[in-house]
Amino acid sequence: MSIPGQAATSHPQSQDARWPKVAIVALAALTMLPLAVIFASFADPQAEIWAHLGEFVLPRLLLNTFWLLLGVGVGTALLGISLAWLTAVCDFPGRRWLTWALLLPLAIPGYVLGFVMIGLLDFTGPLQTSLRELLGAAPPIPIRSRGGVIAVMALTLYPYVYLVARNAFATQGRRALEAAQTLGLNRWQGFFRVALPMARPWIAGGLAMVLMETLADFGTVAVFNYDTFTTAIYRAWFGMFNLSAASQLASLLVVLVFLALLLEQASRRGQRFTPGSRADRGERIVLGTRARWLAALWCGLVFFTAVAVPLGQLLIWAWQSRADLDSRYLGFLGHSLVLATSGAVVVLTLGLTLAYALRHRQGTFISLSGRFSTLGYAIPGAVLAVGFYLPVSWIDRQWIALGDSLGNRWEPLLGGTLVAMLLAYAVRFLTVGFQPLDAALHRITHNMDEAARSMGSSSRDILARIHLPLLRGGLATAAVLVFVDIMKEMPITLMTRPFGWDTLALRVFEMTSEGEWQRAALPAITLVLTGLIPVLLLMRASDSDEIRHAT
Amino acid sequence: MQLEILNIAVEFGNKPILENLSLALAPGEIGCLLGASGCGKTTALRAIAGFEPLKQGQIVVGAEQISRPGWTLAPQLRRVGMVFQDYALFPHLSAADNIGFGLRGANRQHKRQRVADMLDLVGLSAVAHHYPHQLSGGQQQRVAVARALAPDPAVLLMDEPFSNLDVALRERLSLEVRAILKEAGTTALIVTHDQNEAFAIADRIGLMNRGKIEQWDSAYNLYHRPASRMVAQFIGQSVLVPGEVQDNQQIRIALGCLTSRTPLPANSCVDVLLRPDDIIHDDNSPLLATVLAKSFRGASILYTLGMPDGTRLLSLVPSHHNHAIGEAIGIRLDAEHVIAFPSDS
Amino acid sequence: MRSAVSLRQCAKHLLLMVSAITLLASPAWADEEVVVYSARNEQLIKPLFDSYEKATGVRILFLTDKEGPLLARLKAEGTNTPADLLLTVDAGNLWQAAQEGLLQPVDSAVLQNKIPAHLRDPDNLWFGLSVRARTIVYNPQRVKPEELSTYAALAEPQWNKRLCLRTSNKVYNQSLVAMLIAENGEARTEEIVRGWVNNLATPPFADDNSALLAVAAGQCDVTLVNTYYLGRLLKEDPNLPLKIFWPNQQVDNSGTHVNISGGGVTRHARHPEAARKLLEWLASDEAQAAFAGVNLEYPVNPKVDVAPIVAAWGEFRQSPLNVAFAGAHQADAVRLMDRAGYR
Repeated sequence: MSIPGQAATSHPQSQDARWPKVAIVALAALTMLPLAVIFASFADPQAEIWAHLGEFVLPRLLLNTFWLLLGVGVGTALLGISLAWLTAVCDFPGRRWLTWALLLPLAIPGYVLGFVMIGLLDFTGPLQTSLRELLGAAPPIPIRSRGGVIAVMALTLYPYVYLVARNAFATQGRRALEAAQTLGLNRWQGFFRVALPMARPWIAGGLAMVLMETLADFGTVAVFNYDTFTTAIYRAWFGMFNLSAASQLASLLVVLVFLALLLEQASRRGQRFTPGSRADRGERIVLGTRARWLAALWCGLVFFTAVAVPLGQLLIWAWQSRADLDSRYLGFLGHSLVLATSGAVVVLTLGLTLAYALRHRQGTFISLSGRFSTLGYAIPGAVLAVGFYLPVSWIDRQWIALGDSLGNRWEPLLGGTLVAMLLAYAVRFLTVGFQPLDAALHRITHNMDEAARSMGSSSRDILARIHLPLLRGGLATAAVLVFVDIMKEMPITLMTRPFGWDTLALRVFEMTSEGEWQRAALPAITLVLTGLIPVLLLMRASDSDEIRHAT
Repeated sequence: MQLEILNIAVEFGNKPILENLSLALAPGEIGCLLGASGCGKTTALRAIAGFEPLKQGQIVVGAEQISRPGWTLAPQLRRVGMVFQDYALFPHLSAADNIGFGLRGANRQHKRQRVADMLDLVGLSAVAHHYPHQLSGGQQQRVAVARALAPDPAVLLMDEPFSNLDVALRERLSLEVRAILKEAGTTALIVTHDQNEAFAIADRIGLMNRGKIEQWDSAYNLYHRPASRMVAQFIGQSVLVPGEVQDNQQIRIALGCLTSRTPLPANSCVDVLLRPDDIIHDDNSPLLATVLAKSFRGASILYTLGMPDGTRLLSLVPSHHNHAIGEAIGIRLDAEHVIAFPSDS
Repeated sequence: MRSAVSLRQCAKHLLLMVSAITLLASPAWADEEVVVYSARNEQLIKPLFDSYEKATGVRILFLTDKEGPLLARLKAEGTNTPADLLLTVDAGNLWQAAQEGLLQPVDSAVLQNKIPAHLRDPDNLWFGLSVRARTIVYNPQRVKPEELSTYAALAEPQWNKRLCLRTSNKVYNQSLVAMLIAENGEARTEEIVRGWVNNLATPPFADDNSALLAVAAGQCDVTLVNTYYLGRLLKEDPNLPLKIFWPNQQVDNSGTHVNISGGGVTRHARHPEAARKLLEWLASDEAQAAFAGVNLEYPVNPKVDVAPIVAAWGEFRQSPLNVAFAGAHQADAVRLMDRAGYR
């Protein structure tokens, strides 16, 4: 047998050698623009602030950030991998609905879960209050702590790992595990020495997204008042009115992320990870009675904490503030949907372009540029928004100046338009759209292309008749992730939206920024429920995929 | 016996997959389960490996019972190695690491030596550090064999081990693998749908049909002494010609009289198994048959012949006797002891 | 392939939709309109804008965001900014906007008459529109009001493990500390903040509400909050054991720390006159009651009545220091809090 999914590297295509390079450079430039603005802040040195930060702030924040990254990384890996393994390979009661239900935290913003958890578990919450009333005293639950923020972020971010790991486990099939068993390994050992290492590149991709989002997060850590590197960025900006120092801090963050990504990539050079060729996905590991119920309990527990509890609390609050519900909500909902949908289309188009370009062209320059263009996800949203808005305004000024010189009053070309908004989303979420597409594209061999070409298909033909159908799973995953991320997004939406384009996420922002969490529940629950729709569609699509492959 | 399977049955749901299956292999013996796809041979292998529970019967390796209804020793504990049809090599490990994978508990020195020995045995020392995707199909196959052999299994199972290779490689490798197994003194059970492969590699072959072993025997006996109509038709090429049993085990057919190997009731109707080498082309023979089809095989030609009464025959003829289709040629019977099966009617 | 075709059609439809919406969304400039960039939340300004539109026929376009991004945006847009008016919920950011040259002076007798001098910029670049008092709230079951006196006194050892604070990341606390610096100097203020940190019963909270609830539940005894948070809580549950104490009311004290929610006309405003009129209207007696009342804040115009629930807290003396100091000392305040370990 020849291993499928062979080298995407071995067949550079000569006939259309130009466009990939152009595309990659263009995409990298798009991301580089805000990055350049952020890095340009070093032209305005802030020695005094750095001395202060270095002495009083950074040591603690770096340590905090390190623990947070480690904790969330380990937490999402544990949750994502264990849940993916159970739902993809084993069978237990409730598996079918848990398989998709466990994706739902995607639609629940971290700060919402954080606020709900603190509200329920802190000293003033119902749990401790009733315990105090019953027993006179209650053991304190340290929810507003490092452990608390890690737990909450892990519970909201694990789906990134779960989604990709599940896909990897499902396509691996049981064959590899059985091979390990015939070589004397029990299932646990086989899982750790075979299944897990084989799924590593996908899990690493998911974890990279989790860690980038953790680094860039402000909302969740703010709810816990847990100071991280991002907190320092906002503190320098909002507190000390020093956007330069904030940008310098942010650029450090970008460099760190970039190095980490390169390191991960380098560490698996030479290895190749290809799914088995045989569709032996129908068979599942049959668990013992106790193991079955333990598996169901574990998955159910995660669902309960990460989905049922926050949804329940939001529903209660939303009911209490139902008076806020008016016809404008239709507008918010509509704006959210249009932005998320069109944003997803733009990001997917660009992500697909990037993935294809990387497939066609190799080289250090190309792969570096490719890496650059996905960095937007690691930058705190508001910083990126400013970095993006500066060049946009500059272009507008030139445009209007041009109009003036021609004696015309021209309106801004980009600022305050959806085009600028969608481009900003693209910069931020390109990696979210790119990762799943890239993974899916790696499974299409060049032999398939050549087979089609030998039958007289044009490039466009191949794309439409071979790649797109085969990429469906990856496209669906990418679309849902981007859609949900844009639904939840605040800083870029705030900064770039046209007048009147308020969304559900902005309603949440308006309420929470004045501490009115109860009233934020109504837009939040609407947002979550809207976000559920594509998640459910994704699960239905991947379910039918599974069936198709198994037969 | 190194491997003994006694009357096992396996069901999927309520659908019987294996019924009353029995076989035994002496230490160092190579067995083969031969059959068309869907006959249950892979399931038998998976039952021995411990992936399928038994409904009935038992499986014994060495002196240890490893499967019986309601109890299945875990696969990793039964010292049964397996080579998978798609090899299931671990793509993230090099050839050497794949081979060393099952060597646990051994000290590092011993492990390295064992891996080196196995690489040597299968002739892959030069590519020890290549990853599976960098190896050819044949090399991957041999890594898979070496990996399964490395922990010194009591029994080695191979599921269609050559089916992913091209024909030329398949024949060479099956002989090579036989040599490797014999050198290692391994007891092995192989599953295949290809009788040539089975003949090349196995000491004993079980022909499987619908979840049962029709005949567990040597290659010679399967060919020359098939125990059933099914075996006769599956192995080699043959035709069945109607005949009538007379006294003294004599059978009369259109071509003449033959002796049955087995006792048959007198005056019964039977079908006689005739192999292509039982019919000789003889220009002097008064018996004439018309050439219906021919298939050139290099040294010989396989003719499909029609008798005046409609009986069809196969005849293997040296290839310098080249006759056109439609031509009538002389033939004679060259078989003394034949196999006959009672007629269906 | 059917799926491919439908995908392509889908993409085409979406593109059409997006371009159509882009065209529709391009703002069309009318003469009678004002464009507002507001850090004050939509629900707090929209009712007022609605009534202004109704009363005058002037159209108000507005965008909300945090102060930082709004200032960055104003700066980036430069001469082309569509914004006429900038609204914030603290003086510091107005001061910063003025520093950056993003505002223009407004010469308006109305504004000068209605708004006390310490609540607006000396150079008339910005004007306070409502007062937010940051005060002490205590649990009457555990604290006698006689025990309380000033912000500084909360640093005394008697409050050990009895104080709750909101995070120092919030601008309200930064302003408070900035004002303390303006009054007491850096060294003394740092001592005070250190004392607060030592007295904390639990790590700082993310918001004022949580701090108030912690006091009510007995997790701690006193806290520092903006009054309107207490107002909101009491509106829901009047029986909460929470009482206001106005600090720094003695003759030799400076008075209770106040901040403002206010606004200024942008330097490159296209409708500066309309913006001025809107500001003046917001300072008018009728609008003041609503502007402050919608969030239970205090009007800047001392003649305007406050909401009953607010009136029940009694009168207090405001610190006469110009709120501009909050901006001038804010960066120092943040650094001081870093040094003092106030998170």
